[in-house]
Amino acid sequence: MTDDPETSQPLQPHAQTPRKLGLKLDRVCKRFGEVVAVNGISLDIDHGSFVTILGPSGSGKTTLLRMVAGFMGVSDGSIWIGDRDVSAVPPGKRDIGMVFQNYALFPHMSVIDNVGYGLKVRKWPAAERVKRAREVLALVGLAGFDDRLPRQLSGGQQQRVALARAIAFEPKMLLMDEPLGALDRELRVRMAGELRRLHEELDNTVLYVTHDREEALTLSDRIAIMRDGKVESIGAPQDLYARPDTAFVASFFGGHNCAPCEAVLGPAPGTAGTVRVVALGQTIEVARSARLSADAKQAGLAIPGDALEFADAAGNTGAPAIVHSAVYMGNQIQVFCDVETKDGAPMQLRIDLPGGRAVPPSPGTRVRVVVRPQLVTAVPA
Amino acid sequence: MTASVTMPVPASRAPRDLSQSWSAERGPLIGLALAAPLIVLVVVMLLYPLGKLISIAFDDGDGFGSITAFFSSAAHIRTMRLTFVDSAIVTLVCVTVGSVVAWALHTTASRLTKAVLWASIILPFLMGSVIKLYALVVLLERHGVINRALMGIGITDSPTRLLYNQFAVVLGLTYHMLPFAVLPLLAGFQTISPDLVKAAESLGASRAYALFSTVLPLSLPSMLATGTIVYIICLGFYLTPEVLGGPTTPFSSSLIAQDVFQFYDLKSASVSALVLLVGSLVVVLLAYALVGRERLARAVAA
Amino acid sequence: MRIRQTSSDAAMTGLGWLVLGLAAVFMIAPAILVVVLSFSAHDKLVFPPQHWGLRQYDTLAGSQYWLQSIVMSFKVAIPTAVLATLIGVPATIALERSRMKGKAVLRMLGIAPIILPGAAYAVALYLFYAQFHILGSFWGVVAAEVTIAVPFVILIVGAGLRRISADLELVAMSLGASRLRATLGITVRLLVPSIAASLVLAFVTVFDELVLINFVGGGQIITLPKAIYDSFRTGTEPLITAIATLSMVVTGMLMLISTHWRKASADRT
Repeated sequence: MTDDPETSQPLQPHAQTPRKLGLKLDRVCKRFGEVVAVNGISLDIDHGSFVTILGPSGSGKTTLLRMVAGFMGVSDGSIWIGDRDVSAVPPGKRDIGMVFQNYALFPHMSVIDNVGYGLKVRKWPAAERVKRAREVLALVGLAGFDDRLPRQLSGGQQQRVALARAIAFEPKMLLMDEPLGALDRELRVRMAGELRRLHEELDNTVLYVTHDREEALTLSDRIAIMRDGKVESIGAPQDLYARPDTAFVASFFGGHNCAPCEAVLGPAPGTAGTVRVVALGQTIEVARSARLSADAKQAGLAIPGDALEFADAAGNTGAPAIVHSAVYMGNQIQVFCDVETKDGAPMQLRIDLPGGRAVPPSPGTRVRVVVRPQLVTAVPA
Repeated sequence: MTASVTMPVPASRAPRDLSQSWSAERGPLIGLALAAPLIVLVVVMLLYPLGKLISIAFDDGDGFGSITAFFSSAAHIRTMRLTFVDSAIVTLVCVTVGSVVAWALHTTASRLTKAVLWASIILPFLMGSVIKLYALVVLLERHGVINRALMGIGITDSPTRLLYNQFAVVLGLTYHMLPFAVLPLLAGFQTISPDLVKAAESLGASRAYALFSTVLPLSLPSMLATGTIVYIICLGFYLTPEVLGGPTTPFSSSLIAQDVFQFYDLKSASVSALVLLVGSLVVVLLAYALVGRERLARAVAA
Repeated sequence: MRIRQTSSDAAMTGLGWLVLGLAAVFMIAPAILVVVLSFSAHDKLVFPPQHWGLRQYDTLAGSQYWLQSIVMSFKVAIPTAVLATLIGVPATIALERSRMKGKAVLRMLGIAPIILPGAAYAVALYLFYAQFHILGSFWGVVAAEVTIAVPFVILIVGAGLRRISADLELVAMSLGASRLRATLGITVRLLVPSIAASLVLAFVTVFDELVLINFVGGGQIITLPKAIYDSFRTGTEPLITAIATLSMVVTGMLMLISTHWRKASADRT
């Protein structure tokens, strides 16, 4: 995988300091009987970075996080936090803070006691404990809520308490398991912004698990995309979006169209990392994913919705198609077209047109679809 | 920055010593330590005594001889039939009446109705099993409240025999079991919205048909589970038949007690107890096959 | 405008009310009757009473035999409830929150004593006690009663435990607590209302229990239910109405408290 730290990590807050290891996973496996939930994952994460594990449910992302937290043992492999192998270390000695999806606030303790719990366990004197807890509560915007009980708080407030509790004792690692999943959409967007701001202020490494790709895009320095117990791909959000290296990454993360190539003509002369293919009635030169070998005979195309546009319906450029449906979404219009393929296999493509005052085409309209090759990546079929 | 994605570890690699990895789940050993007192209790106070019971029942060397003898005794058969039939009647009454009460509790908006129905469930429960029997004896005995009332109004001239017969046993068992039937039935009904009946009626069904076509099928499993629990508790009931039934209508349990305390025939008592145990087990297994473990467990819990 | 009811619907509703009415009378009347009779001033049961007073309560207060049976019931029920809790609570934590093998079987066996036919189980215990000559011993009775109190602990505390998120313990551990501290400080602390409720229910159950006492008590352990049962041989003793009234009041209050605790714990979690 091509990797350019300067461009791939523009948000890296501690870029000047010498690189320090935050978390290292070495061939980590988790088996439940015959089922392999996590299948040999190795991953190095720099200290201070915000890394998201993104995957559909059942991909093993929560299992992985729980192993890092120490709630589950590894079946194989080892986990390092900083320069310490913590595979055999209890959760409390791993120097981690954890935020759960359902917050898991202690229902019988006030806000201040919840936040101070980790300090109390670490035997801080009461006065300092309260002082520190108040500081952290102020940091998450909950100053003055000290004596409330969790059930007296709204979902968003509970979320902030859970976060404050996890960061109060300044752990090296902060683990978050879909922490925004239970919030409504508006609150989710706002909290995501605050999480990012907090991360800039704190000196810790964040491992964040979610199935929501917008959250991953907003928050992360790097995103690891998981599928079937393995990391399918890892990189900066921009790279994964613009140059997905597999069809799964393209569709699950990018939301791109995936179309098969009718023919693969081989590398374009003179340019490394590209390939000439025939697709949608056009012969085009597109970027080649590192996962696609240079002499591959078959390939798929990851085509963002805005890389497609309509051509003159009477002309003969592009592929003939029929508009199936169109959805007006304000700033854009998503048009779903049934494309006529050579072998007659059904293929539907989503085309994102600029919205505004434009009128969506009506279903049944005959159109021709052409592709802009600059935005397209060839991936393994 | 290094980011790597490695392929799965080959299966041939020796599995790591898992004792080296930490897990927050309580392992089997901690579980065993926590459960040890219960395990000791179960072994000493349940499994050993039941084993003892079985060994005494089969004590005579010819294996099933004592069992055959049991079933060839007319008195035993009569008692068994009485026990199983009376228990079935009680179960039927408890589930039917219990369902009406539970459904009313679930649907009524009237606070008075609710209060009265709850009182009718809780008051007998508060009395405890022996005092319940006392109250029933006071009601039913020869010069008891009911007989005095009947004679006072002039319906009968001489006291009617209400106690020491099968009727009294069924009445007593129903009185004891009805509250225990209503609670699991209510728990079952609470998952059913009363709007279903309204919906069915809005589609043209009569009240009766609406109830039978929506509530009945949905609550059938909970009724079966409740019925099973009521039935097996009735089968093993000792006090009520002993006090209200008298010597002419002995339940299996009374027979067992008689064997132990009057005839000192521990072997016969063991055989009767074993037959009762196996009978109940069969009932539980049948219910298990019909409604599944989950619902049965829920009926016990309620 | 009233919605017209069809005649069959009216019949259905009428039948429902009839069943409800009969059931309510049948269930409530004996309890009311006992309470009313407890205030009669006759030395025999007379209905309806002609004279009223606290005679039954006076007689009870002056009777060594009955008072001792009440004391004996407390003597058996209190240690039983405590022991059942000490055995049942850790076991329930193991049954709900560990990777121990055979949890389903152990759970079933633990609850079995209240599901098995009472007399059959009592005979089994009788044979066991006879073999070791402990029929009629106080602690033998307590041990027998513990077996039927433990199922209530398993059921009630188990239900309470399932309402407490397992994540709470995990989060405490991630914050630095040891497993022991997380278990006691979080899970068991949150279980307190359920434990208290099960303690009360175990106490009430054992206080009322008669079948096992009859079989393994050897006629020497005379608890209150045993004394009442024995009195049936000589007819209906009127002072039992006073005992019944008092025990209904006390049991009612205990149940109210325990329900309140269980509710409180349900609201919390």
